[in-house]
Amino acid sequence: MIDTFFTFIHSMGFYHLTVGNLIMWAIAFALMYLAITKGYEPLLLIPIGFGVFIVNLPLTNLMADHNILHIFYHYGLEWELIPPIIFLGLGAMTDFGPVIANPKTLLLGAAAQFGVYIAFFFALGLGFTIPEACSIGIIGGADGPTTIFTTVALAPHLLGATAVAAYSYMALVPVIQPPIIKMMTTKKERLIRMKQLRPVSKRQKMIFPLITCGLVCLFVPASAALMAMFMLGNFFRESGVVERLSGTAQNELMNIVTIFLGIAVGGTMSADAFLTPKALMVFAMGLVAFSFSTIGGLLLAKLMNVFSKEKINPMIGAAGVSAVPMAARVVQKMGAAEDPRNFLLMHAMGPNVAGVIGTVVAAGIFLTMGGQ
Amino acid sequence: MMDIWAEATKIFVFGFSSVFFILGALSLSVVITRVLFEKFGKNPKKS
Repeated sequence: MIDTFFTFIHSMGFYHLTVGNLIMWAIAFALMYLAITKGYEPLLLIPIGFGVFIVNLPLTNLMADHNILHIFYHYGLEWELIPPIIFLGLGAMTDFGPVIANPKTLLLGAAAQFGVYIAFFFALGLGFTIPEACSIGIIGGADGPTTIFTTVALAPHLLGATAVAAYSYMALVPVIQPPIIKMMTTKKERLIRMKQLRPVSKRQKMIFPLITCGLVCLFVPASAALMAMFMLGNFFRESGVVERLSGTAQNELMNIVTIFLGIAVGGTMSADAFLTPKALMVFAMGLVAFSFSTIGGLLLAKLMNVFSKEKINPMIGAAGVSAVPMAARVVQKMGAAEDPRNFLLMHAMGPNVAGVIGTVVAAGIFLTMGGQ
Repeated sequence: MMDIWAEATKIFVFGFSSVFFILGALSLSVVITRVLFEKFGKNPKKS
């Protein structure tokens, strides 16, 4: 009888709870708290937080082979299915009009990948391997699906840390970027007004995804899965004849895969995998990456002003980090704070969406060169 | 150890310059497309 009682007790999760599990619960609740009360990336942080909570319930084995979280992880992430589908939805939501109207903003999106490489070097200096450093560096692109796509391919053991770092810092754009922008620009620069963007024809908008897809995929084939789906989604949108597909890509499909993505990422964050010095370093490197990406965009915008007659407000360079549309909104808010009649949102959307393309290119190069 | 840094420098040089090159090429294609549409296009519908 007593043996049965003890066997019964041993079969309970309570008996196997560890301090690590409790810490991970605290992290899970913190993520969910931030999502609910502060509105930080709730669509991702709620499923990730819940995934973290349930994967740290002892004996449930939700990440064991053929169990529910492992199935989401295996087919969704290991098969590299979910990030491209998210990109399909993002493409259907994205208006490339501001980029087409002012194509030099594409270069600002490129400059804002600076932090990716700075964090890459920092990570190597801290003893990470090249594939790990690539996965950490790409956090600086401020693009969740691209970070996940790269990490799964190069350093899957870091997936939880890189994904949560990417989404956390994306949510913290309004906190991280303003002090950097203020430090790097003068009041006079922040007051620069930009003339209204020229109108863009429907045909140009339609041809842009085809050119971008062809060009990027030919130069960096490793980025094809993300870029092709991104541009397909945008082509749905701009063709104007498949509204149902466009609507599905940006609503139902996107929502479904977001659930699977969040819970699968959360599922990788078990205490033994996540509570390591490496994970903490990933978070620190993520902040480095993000900050230097902001600086890179700002510096190029300032440099452009040296050579260009038509001045641009250098703050829009900061929007080159891909966190769409938060980074552009931050620039708009800061511009309006200096001059309430200065409308920078559409100008900032140019580098913002260019940053997404830049990050995908950077990821493709990491996948090509960093995986050896 | 030296190999890692040499490899990393290669990734940085090729990587960052490729990002600029590709986005620069894209930027140029946008300009070329615009010029072609303005020259040969028939009254493009504005959106």
